[in-house]
Amino acid sequence: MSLWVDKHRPKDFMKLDFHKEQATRLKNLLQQSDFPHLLIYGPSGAGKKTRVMCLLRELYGSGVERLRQESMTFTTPSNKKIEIMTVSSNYHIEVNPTDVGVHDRVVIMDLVKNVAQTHQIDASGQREFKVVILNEVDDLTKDAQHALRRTMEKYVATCRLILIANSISRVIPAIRSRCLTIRVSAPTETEIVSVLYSVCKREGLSLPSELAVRIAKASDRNLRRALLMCEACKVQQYPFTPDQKITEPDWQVFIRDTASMILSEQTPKKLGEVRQRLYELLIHGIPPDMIFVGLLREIVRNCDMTLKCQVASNAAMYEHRMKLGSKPIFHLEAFIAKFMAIYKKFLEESLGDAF
Amino acid sequence: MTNIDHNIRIVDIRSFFKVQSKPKTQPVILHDDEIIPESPEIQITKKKRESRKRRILDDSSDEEKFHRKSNEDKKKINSQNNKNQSHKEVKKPMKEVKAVEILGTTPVKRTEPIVKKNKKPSKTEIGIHSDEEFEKSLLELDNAETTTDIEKIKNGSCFTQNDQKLKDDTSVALTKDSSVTSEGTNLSVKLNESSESVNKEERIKHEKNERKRDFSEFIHHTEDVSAQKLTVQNNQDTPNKNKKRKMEKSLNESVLSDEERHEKKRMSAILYQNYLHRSGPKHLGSKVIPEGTPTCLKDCAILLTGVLDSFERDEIVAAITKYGGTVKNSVSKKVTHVLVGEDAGPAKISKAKELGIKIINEDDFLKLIQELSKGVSENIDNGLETKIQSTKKKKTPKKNEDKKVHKMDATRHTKQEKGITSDKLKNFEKKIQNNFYNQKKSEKLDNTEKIPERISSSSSMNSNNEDPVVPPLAINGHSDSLQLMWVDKYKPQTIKQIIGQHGDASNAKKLSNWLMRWYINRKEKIPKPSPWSKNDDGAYYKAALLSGPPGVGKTTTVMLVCKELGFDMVEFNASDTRNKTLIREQIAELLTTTSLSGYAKGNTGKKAITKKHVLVMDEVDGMAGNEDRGGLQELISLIKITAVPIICMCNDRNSQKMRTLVNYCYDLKFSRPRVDQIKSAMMSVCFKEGIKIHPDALTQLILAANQDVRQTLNMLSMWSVNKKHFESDQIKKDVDSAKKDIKVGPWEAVRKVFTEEEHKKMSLNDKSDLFFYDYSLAPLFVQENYLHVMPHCSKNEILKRVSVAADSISMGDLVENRIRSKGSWNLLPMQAMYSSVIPGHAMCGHVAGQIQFPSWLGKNSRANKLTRLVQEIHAHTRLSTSGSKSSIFLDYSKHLRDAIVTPLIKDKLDGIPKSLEVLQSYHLLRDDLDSLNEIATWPGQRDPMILVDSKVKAAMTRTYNKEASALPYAPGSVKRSRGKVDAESGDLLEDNIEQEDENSSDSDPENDMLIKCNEQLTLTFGDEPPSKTTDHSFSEFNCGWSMDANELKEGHPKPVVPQNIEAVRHLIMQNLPVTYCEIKPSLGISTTSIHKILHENLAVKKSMLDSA
Repeated sequence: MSLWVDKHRPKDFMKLDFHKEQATRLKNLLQQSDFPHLLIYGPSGAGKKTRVMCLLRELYGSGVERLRQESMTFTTPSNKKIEIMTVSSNYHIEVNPTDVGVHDRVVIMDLVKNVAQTHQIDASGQREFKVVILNEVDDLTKDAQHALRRTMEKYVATCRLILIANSISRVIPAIRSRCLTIRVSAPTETEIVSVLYSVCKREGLSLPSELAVRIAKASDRNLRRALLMCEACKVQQYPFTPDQKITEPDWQVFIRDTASMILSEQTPKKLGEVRQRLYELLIHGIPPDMIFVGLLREIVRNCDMTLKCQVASNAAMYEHRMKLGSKPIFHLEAFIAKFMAIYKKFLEESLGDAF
Repeated sequence: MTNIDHNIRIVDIRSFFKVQSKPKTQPVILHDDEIIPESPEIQITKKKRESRKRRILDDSSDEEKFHRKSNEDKKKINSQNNKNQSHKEVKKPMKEVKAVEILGTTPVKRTEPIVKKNKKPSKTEIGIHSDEEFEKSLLELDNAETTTDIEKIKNGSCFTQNDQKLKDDTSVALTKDSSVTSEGTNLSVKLNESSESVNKEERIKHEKNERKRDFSEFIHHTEDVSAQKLTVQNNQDTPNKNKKRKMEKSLNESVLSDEERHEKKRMSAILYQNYLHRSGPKHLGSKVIPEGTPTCLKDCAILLTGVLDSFERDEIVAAITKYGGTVKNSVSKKVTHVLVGEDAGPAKISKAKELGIKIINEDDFLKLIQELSKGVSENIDNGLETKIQSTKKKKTPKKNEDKKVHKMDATRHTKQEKGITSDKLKNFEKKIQNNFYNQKKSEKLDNTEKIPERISSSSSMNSNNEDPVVPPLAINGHSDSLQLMWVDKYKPQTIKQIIGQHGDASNAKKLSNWLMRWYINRKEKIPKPSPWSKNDDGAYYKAALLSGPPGVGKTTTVMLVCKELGFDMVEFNASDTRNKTLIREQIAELLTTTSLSGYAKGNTGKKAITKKHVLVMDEVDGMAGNEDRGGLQELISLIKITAVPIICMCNDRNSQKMRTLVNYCYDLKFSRPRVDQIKSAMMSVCFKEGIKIHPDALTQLILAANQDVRQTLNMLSMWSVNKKHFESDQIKKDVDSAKKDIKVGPWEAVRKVFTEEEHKKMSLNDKSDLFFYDYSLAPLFVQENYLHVMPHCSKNEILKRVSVAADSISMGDLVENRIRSKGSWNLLPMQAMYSSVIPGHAMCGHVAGQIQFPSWLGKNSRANKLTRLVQEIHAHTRLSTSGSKSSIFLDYSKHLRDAIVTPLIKDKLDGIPKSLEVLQSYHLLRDDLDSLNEIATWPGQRDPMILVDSKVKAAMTRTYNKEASALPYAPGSVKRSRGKVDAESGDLLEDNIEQEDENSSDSDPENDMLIKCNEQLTLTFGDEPPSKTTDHSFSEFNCGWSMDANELKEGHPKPVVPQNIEAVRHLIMQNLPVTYCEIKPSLGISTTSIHKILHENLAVKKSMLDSA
């Protein structure tokens, strides 16, 4: 028994719940029996992967659903052996090159070449090309991305690449221009609500509309999260009540608490405590940019307009630095220290005005 | 061997001044020892054959030298006499005076009281040093203007003896012998109170004694003069009325009413406020301190108060000390000038006025330097000229006399002197022993002891300066001392001479006490003292561990203590191989044998054979590497069974290698001697070598050597090759270049980064150097600790400064990333600025609290671990989920865990199939549940697994193992995939962590899926089987390593987990008849831990189990 989110995943273009227009467009694209490299991007929980799987199914039939996992071994130029797990069917192979960290270039070069250089033996009834799916392309190192651009052109006859990314801002333009970029935007809240209804219907449950709306709001337009939350609600209490408590993700709560800590007291000591909490967030794999966003969102609520601008611009600056640097905690801390300094000054001034 | 060498050296130096009282065969042997000390026994026989020839050779050389010396001495005496006379202001016409005349009669005799008086001022100057050597040389230094009077007199005394003999040349051998022996017995009687003395000899002895007293008085006299001078100067400035005034003042104060007192308090509070707010010098740098002669402020004691107009206080203090003045902190009689600036302390000024002390301002001070330096330089010039003239005059008659001396006489003299040396040596050694055992006696003997030493030093002086024609054949004390390194030359000969080791609580004393009582202590049963007990005399321990920085005298202390207690040293140092087998076979064997070294020294008495050994293991921290494998362990086992005392020495007792050894040793920590302690010793050395060095310069030198006595001596000796006169300014330059590189740990470095006082002394380069002590750790240390710093600024500004520091640190990270990723190491200085200097500047203040080890490292490795776990889960669930790793972190983990755990909590045993179904549909392994749990649990949350009944859990594990379904992946290989651990492969630190990770994953038995039982062990929570992970990372930071408490450390045997205890209790309570075998699989913990839990934690009796 899987979770709802996986159980009720649509497997056909026709069964998709939103972005239907885009789905038909993709379907039409495939009917011409050939398509360019694809770069599919959008926020997480929008259905990128689902669409890719639909696409493959449309392309090769149900054979793509017979997946197998294999691990492949590569040797880096420095004679280091690295292994990577791949998911493949007869028609496609899917890799997560970022799993091997800085050695992703080797994976891209060797694996893609391997796949692309072998022709399909039985060309009849099948496509002439295989599909290589690369996940998290935006996290690839620059080296790996550059290695990719040549292979993309060279082996276009025997393989198609489908690149999946959260945002294309970190994908080099050379790759962007070689692909057909498809943006899968996050579902709107109403779309999420409708999905929730349909899922609950299939599960045989009745979902109060208020609860559905609240879940959709709390989910941050992330369908995966919405479904998981909905299921969690069901586990907690069924039948549903409209004012039922929705369990938010722990990390969101944690960030919110941290923000209120920052607002409550501005001292170096408090900053030290905040640092510990930030460490905790980072340990639990919360992407630092999400921490930035979460903190900023909470913090600016207590600021007036001029302060808001100042804080936001500072946050942007430190986030940028964080992307350039290697230790996120330094930049997070610098941001909070900056905010504390600004905020304290602001408080003192406003207090001074009051008297 | 070193021991023997030692003795010989003593012989060498003193050979000319010791007296003989024994048959003449012995000196020959000793003399031979000198030449080939390695094989004394063989040498003895050889020598007997050769002795005659040799002696002649030696004699001739000695003879020549002797003549020259005697002449010189004579000259000196003459000049000395003249000087003395001039001192006494007895203005006699210069004429040739025979030494005998002066010394034989007692023209300069002083009454006793004066002598006593003299001692006082000298003592105060010596301060901490009770050491005769220092005392002596200090006294000598005091009299530096009157040149080496004392030595000359000493030499004179020697000479006069000889002279006498020369005169009585024709007289019978008997008289000669008697005169010689008389001296020997004279000493020996004095020291040992032996009853050897003959009447006749006694008569002569009396004569000698008298003469000797004369000398000493002579010395005292000269000292007296200078001392008196000083006191007179001091008294001039401070009238005697002081006492009266003080009395008055105190009376006045007592009369003050409460109100007045209150008023006074208020005033002083205001003054203090003013003091706090006073500004710096107004026209800083507008004036220059004039150049003066080095000693122009010699007699000035200056008190500074208030803010000067154009100088910082430090500058003035430096100038005063440079020119030989002293700086006082409070107004007293000794203060000669009060230098007053703005906002001067009124109390000080009023008191100064009361005492009648000159109050000067800044300009007056500058004038003072100029004036005094003019006066002094003139004086010096005059003095020098006169001196040169006098020496010139005296040179001519000396040479003539030289030739008069008969050759035969000379040979006889040298013979006698050889005899003397051996005898003296014995006396000397006895003296030392006496010294040690009954100190009261030694005090008496001090006076006599001084004399030979002085003689020796003077002789070496002479040889250095005025022996250019020593024939190369002559191997004796004189030429030998020339070749010796200073470090060896001035090696302490008695415990008292060791710098900083003469107190009762000193390590040398402790060591000798310990050693003395060693055999006695072995017979008693003494409990092991607690490590915190303060006055531990180490009775429990069979070994001592001496630890301390290099060059503070550890080895010397041990050698001298052993020598004085009569122990034979068996020494092993880093140059010997000290591995396991060697220690076991050779050293252990050595310790059971008896020593024949007594024979080697020519001692045939009963005492020659001694069983008193001591094993000295020098540089035990150097026992490492392949050569000395297992050496330390063997040493420890040796300590356990040893029948002799063992002394170990090391530099760093906190090092990892020493950890175990420390537990078996009496711990004696040597700290660096204080600067002034070393300084006075060095001054005496400088004096002996005829080097003029400014005390200030010497202080610089000692500080530069980091208070390492050996290095200071070496540096001095190196520089003295070029020049004999050191200027303070010049030496400062040299010192900077010769500065000993001191390794500063990251803790110390980061403290310096933030401490304001340190900043004052440092240039920008120095500050950035702090970063370079360890550039990979420094930024982390700074980041970890900058929040604990209290910046010295107003409260409102603190946060601003913190933010500046944080901003700079974040910039530093950018630079570091560029360095690491692009290999642009030329940016390192820039990173130093951003990561260390700017934060240090912004937060400049003091560190409040302890310096913490960067938690970033621990957090980072933990983050890496969780990422790895997530990656595993991601890989396992990939077929059925979409989404990336971060979606596992953010969304899946909690819900997945809940989906598995909730049925177990709610439905207990009936929920098992349901949760197993989830596991299977996501292709998760049993351990993935633990990982999920770890990922999804936030601090402050309860672990939901605790809620699960342990029985249910066990049952679930069992069913899981039974049903083990087909997985779409090979589980073994999956584990091997490693996470983003090597994201920054350039980073050394990361590499370490990476390696650790690698090891843990490799050696972790979880990996090997074939081992079913291992799997079983790990299936349940807690008790992870100990993997053999070795902690590679940061072994150097072991001390003070503050780890995050949450950090799961692999590789250490895990203590019994409380959950397990609870679980076992549950099992027992639920169904009492339970056996080990049942508990074991259901909880998946080892038998031993079950045993432990049962007996220690639950206090279950065995019978209970048996009955069950």
